[in-house]
This record gives sequence, C-alpha cells and structure tokens, in this order.
Amino acid sequence: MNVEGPLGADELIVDCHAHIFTADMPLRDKPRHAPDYDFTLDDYISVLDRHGVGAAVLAAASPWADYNDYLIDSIRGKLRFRGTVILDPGVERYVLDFMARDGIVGVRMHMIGLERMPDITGFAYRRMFRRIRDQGWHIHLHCEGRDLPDLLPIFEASGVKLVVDHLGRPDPEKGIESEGFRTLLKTMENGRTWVKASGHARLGPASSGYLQELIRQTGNTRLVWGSDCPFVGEETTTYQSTLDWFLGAVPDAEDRRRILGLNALELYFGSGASAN
Amino acid sequence: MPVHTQPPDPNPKKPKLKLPPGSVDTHMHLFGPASKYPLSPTSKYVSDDMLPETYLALQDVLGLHYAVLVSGGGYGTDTTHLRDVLAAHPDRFRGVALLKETTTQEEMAELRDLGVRGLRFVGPSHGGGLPKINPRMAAEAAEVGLHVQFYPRGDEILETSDTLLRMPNEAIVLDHFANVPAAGGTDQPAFKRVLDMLDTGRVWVKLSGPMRCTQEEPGYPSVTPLAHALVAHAPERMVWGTDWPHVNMNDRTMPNDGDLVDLLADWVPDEATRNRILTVNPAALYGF
Repeated sequence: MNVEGPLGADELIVDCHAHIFTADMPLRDKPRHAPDYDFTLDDYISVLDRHGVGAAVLAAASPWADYNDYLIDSIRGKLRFRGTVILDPGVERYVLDFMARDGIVGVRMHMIGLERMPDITGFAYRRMFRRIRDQGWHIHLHCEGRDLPDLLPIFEASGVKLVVDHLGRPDPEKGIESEGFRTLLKTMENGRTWVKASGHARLGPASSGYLQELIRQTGNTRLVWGSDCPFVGEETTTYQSTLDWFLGAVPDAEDRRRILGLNALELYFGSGASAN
Repeated sequence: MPVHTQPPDPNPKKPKLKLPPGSVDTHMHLFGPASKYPLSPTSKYVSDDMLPETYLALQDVLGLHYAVLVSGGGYGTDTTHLRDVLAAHPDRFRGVALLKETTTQEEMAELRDLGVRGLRFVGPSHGGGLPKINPRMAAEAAEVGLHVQFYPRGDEILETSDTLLRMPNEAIVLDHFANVPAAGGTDQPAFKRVLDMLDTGRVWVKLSGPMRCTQEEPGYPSVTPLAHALVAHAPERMVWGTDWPHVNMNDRTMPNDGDLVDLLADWVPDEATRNRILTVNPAALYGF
C-alpha cells in the first residue's frame, strides 16, 4: 500500500503528467531532448509510492514522436495508469479502439519549437479531431502561450476536449495579462478545456500566480495537477518540490481535492462519455 | 439433494451507464464444463455450465474488462477449476480462494503466482462445510501477500470483527455489504461496526450482492442508503461486483446484469468516485 499522501489516506492523488522511457528507444530527427538514461514504469511507481500518489497519467513525449509502444506496453492491464499518445493524423479509428482498451485516453500534440507549424485546419487533422471526439478522448496540447490565440479557436471549433499543458506557458513578461493567457481563460468557459497545473520548474516563480489566477477566474473543476517527472532537461527538480509548489499556491482544501485528484478521476479515468 | 440453481438472465441489457475502460467486476463465479470440472458433492446447489467465454461476452455487453473469480460453494475448497481458469486467462482474471485447512504456505504462494489475491472465509453459521475464520491460515497467507475476504451472515460481523482485525493481512475484504440486513438501515449495530472497521484503514467493502442483504425485488431500495453511507465513509476502499451468475436465487426474481450496473449509478452518483471504485481501487487491492 502507499504511504499517506499530502491530503490524507482517503484522498486519491493523481499525477497527470509524467514520462517513462528507455535510453534505447528510437529518437525522432532533431529531438528537443535526448535522455541518456532509462526511466521505467517501475522506477516511476517507486516514486509514486514514496509520495503517496495513487494513480497517474503518462504523457507521450516529443523525443520519440509516435513511438508509443513502450508506454502502451507498460500500462496495459495496469488500472492505476492512463496514457496519451502521439499520432500521425492519418490514424484509423480501429487503432484508437485498441489503444482505448489498453488505457490510452488522449493524443498529445507538440506545437512548440517547430520549424514550421502544421496546418491543423486541413482535412487530415479535422478527421483526426473528430475521431478523438467520437472516442471520448482529449487533445493534450503543448505550445507556447503566445500561440494560444491562434490555436485555441481551431480546437474549440473541432469540439474535442482539450487539455493545455503547463498552465498555458504564459509569456514570461506579460504573464496573466498576456493575450495567450486571456484567450485561455475565455476558452475555458466552454467547459471542455482543462489546464495542467504543472511545469513550475520550467515556468519559474511566477507559476504560482498563474495557477491562482486560473482558480480565481475559472474555479477548481478544470485544473489537474502534474509533476512532469522525471523532469527531462531539468533533472535537478525533485518530485516533492512539485507537490510543495502546488500546496503552497493552493491553500484551500476543496481546491486541493479537486485539482489533485477528483478532476483527474473524471477526465482521465472515466468512460469519456460525458464529452459527447 | 442439491437443488438446481436458477441460471442468470441470458439477455443482459446494455446499461445506460457507460463504464470506464478497464472496469473491474470484483465478484463473480464460474462453473464447468461439468464433464471436466464436476461440482463438489458437498455443494448445496448444482449449476448449469457458467463458462469463461459466456462471462467474457457478458463483460463486453456491460462494458467491463477485468474480473475477480471468487471460489464459492460450487467447488468448495477444490482449487482445480480456479487454477485452470486463472492460468488460461491471466490478463483478465484474478482470484479469491476457499482453502483447505491443510493448505501449505507453498501452495498459497503457487496460487498467488497464478493470480489469487485473497483467501475467503465464511461466517460461523454458514452451512456447506466451507472454511470458517482461521487466524493461523490468515497469518500464513499474509506472509505470502494474500488478503482475507470474509462473507458473514446477518449481523455476524459483530461477533467476528475483533478476530478479523487481529489478523495481520494487509487487507480485510467484506463481501456483499458485509451481508448486513438492509432493512435494519444505517443505524443498526452491525452496520456501525462495519463503518468502525473501515476506520482502521485496511478494511474494504464489496458493493455487490444487494440481493444477499434483502429479499426485495431488483432495485433493492433498502440497500441504497447503505451504499451511500459506505461510499461517503471510505470511498478509497470500496470495490464493486456483479455476483454473476447469482446462485441461490430460486423462487426469487433474477436480476438483469445491465440493471445491476445502472444501480451503481444510484449507489455512487459522483462520477469521479465511481470511476475510482471501478478502476483505481481494485487496481490497488488486486494488483491489476
């Protein structure tokens, strides 16, 4: 059994953002990161158990593009985990059906650090978005805050559930006043947009304020916490610091229960039916 | 003479409730084929064949994916059938076993490696020669990582709770709402004892077999307040099960399994908690 987590024994904590990989997995051309170490599911489970975290969502990561095989093999039959994958937009519906059975619940799109942004308004993407919507999955979007004003309307029009990474990565100069962050708040009114309270090590000290502003403006039902373990590229970050950051920024007990656990149980561990 | 137990409804309805992927039915039974696995001569009932493929087809209709095969009276303490089913379907089933007093710890470890996660005891007044509470066996089972599942009768939890809680096993799982008579409501001593046991942090309750707690018709309205109180008290240690194929229901209305799934929505209206009960909780208890 797990040690008691920061909310006490009866409250489930779900880590909604972590990665597992091995150093020998095939890397894409020009990867953003190229870890030279393994971080296996067992490694991650020992981290979760040490911190009283009961369940988790593993995120596909850009270095390995759509080599989702290791993630899927690792979580198959393990109900404590759900996962997201990276897909070619030509993916067929039957592939999604099989992945769903194995615990995949969403598709991650990396629209950051690219030489050229893909045209996601074309048929190939519109077809994939529809398939994701029909499956009850979500799109898990990683992008710079400055690109949100262009991207969010496209996802909103597609009708998919959307989960935005790392507090929407607001422009560091303008922060909560930036156009990207304002657009994100506005989009969240549609009820099918979630934001990850994660990435504080990448976003710096202002991240607490971003999270507090999200709670103030949108309430506590569309935010989920994630550690970003094992902090690829920022490996000196500790797991405990990601929990401490969250607890420091969010003093209210009900906000903590929702964002650390209940929202994730609805978004990732449900049937997806409520999305349609 | 054993009676022929009424078979389940062969036409399960598609539930209105769409269950999460990987949902676990933590309480079901299988029998047969009788030519290969005859029921125990001591069984109080005989059953038609209830085969894995029939049950797995039911799972497809209901939206379930995994199950815990629980030894019942049909095979008594003969684990042959349980072992073979677990060996044939390691990805879909875990098991809970009734064991002979003479079972060695090595045999318990073998069963664990096949997917057995607990040993089951029945209450003091249970007939049929099934294993009664046995602290020595529980202690030996604890050493190989097995939990205890207990099926009391009526308010037997009152006289057995101390013995159960003295067992060293990591988890003590109470079958079918601890079989507390639902008509007595949430203020009766037996139900309060179950809540006290939950407070120890290592007792689990199966939200299953409502027809074992009441003689009411399907829907079993007197059970719903018990479910609400249990889920409010310890959502982290609730699991759910169908109890398919519902043995010993002769002269009573056979429930439809689709309706039993939908009843779960009444028992646990909150979606987050329901998802937890169907996936993350059984994952922790049974190692899925």
